[in-house]
Amino acid sequence: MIPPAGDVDAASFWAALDDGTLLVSVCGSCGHRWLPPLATCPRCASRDITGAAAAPTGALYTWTVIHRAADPAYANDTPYTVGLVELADGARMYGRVVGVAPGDLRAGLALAVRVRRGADGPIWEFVAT
Amino acid sequence: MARPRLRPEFLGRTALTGVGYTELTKASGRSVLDLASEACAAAIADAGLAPSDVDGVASFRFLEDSVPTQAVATALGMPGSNWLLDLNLGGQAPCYLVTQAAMAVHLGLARHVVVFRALNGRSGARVGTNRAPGPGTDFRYPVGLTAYVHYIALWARRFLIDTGQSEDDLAAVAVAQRAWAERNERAYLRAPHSLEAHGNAPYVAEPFRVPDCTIEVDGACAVVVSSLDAARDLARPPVVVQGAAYAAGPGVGLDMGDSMFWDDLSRNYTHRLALDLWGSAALAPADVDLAEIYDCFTSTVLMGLEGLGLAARGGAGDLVRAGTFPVNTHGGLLSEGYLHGMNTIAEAVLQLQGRAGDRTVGADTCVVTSGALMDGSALVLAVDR
Repeated sequence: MIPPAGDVDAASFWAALDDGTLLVSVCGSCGHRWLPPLATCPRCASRDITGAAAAPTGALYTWTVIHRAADPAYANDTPYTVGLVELADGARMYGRVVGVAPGDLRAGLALAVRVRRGADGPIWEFVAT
Repeated sequence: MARPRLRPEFLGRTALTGVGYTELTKASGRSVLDLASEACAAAIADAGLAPSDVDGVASFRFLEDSVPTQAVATALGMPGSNWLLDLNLGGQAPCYLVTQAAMAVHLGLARHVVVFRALNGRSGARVGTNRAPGPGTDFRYPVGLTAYVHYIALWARRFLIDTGQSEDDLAAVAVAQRAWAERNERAYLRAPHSLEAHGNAPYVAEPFRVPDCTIEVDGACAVVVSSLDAARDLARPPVVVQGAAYAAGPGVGLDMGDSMFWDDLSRNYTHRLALDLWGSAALAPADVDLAEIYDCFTSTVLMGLEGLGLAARGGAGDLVRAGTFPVNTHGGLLSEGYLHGMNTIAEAVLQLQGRAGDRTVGADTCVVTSGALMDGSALVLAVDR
């Protein structure tokens, strides 16, 4: 795994992930939820931003099954599936989709988020519900 | 109701006047400055100019893979530069740089500008596999999403789903473009391609197989931008800059590969700039004879044709298969080689000047795009009437 470089805007995200919680950013002004964390709301520019536990489930928006790792860090993982998942609270994020056969992947597929501790630190992934 | 903006006054009054290339190879064994200087000198000579006539240089680089414009001005012995522009951008840059250069010559800031892209893109740092850390990469590198082929594969999948198209439509692009490349002596890949061969090629990142992806090369390409008045006295027929637009929609992202803020991955920047582009040219999609669409991957051709209004939603694959409307007559970045779209513009110039050999389609107007994802640029080019 390529570890995160650790941007200061996302410090609380990675700290929460270390405790097993996936945190999404929440705007106190307009209610928008999103990732990656920013100091401002990307919808209304408010600085009234807090974090909240992500919705535990979501729907697959799109995906790719990667057969050739572009980076040597993932050379032993192929083939692997990365999806863009829309969480039930509206936030979107990329993540590994595990335990779903490539032929069963489809838009709208219900997935649950799970935080796993890998050899290089905590990471989130998506599994079939 | 959205309305196009007023027509910027440099349009219709500026022109592309020359093109230059190096050979496209897998290992040039040469410096990037050497490649850049060769392509720029060739483009300047092609226009009937000398380096002493050129006082502007523009270029772009990614992963620090190229040289500053001042280095080229120095290497070519240009007596003085009045206008230099260096951008840290990728494939969205070529049409944008030509637009900036056209404005500069129109406003009198420069007489002639050479715009180039040069890189050892295969033997040196490869965009296709090297990391490019940015503010958004912490949310994709740790999950194994590290390269443009991955990012654009996500767009391609959703595009195919939402438009009712399939991997067969992607394959049709690769096959059609290779047929053009067979007639292009510059193209890196010229061997015949077929739907059967396409289907047998290994996947890189689904839905992309190897021939859905551009071929990385070492090389350089340059074009010269001049005022139309000056262009009429030069060596080649002027190719008039009739329309130009750049667009970055809401949620353009934190870096060049960050799509997490973009709502609809079935529509890229071409959908956002089409109205301004056609408005700026005072033309409609039906008025152009030819399209040269940025194609780091096959899907961006289909998305661009639909985004620009050259095909109906879901109809781009059928348009490509019909073969009645020429697209990417150099073979595209897929077959000619990955010079990040500078060669896409150069092909349009050669076509409109009737200099594309037996690929020449006799076009009077051409639309060109630069870019694949959230932001990008485009030009409408035309013969001088």
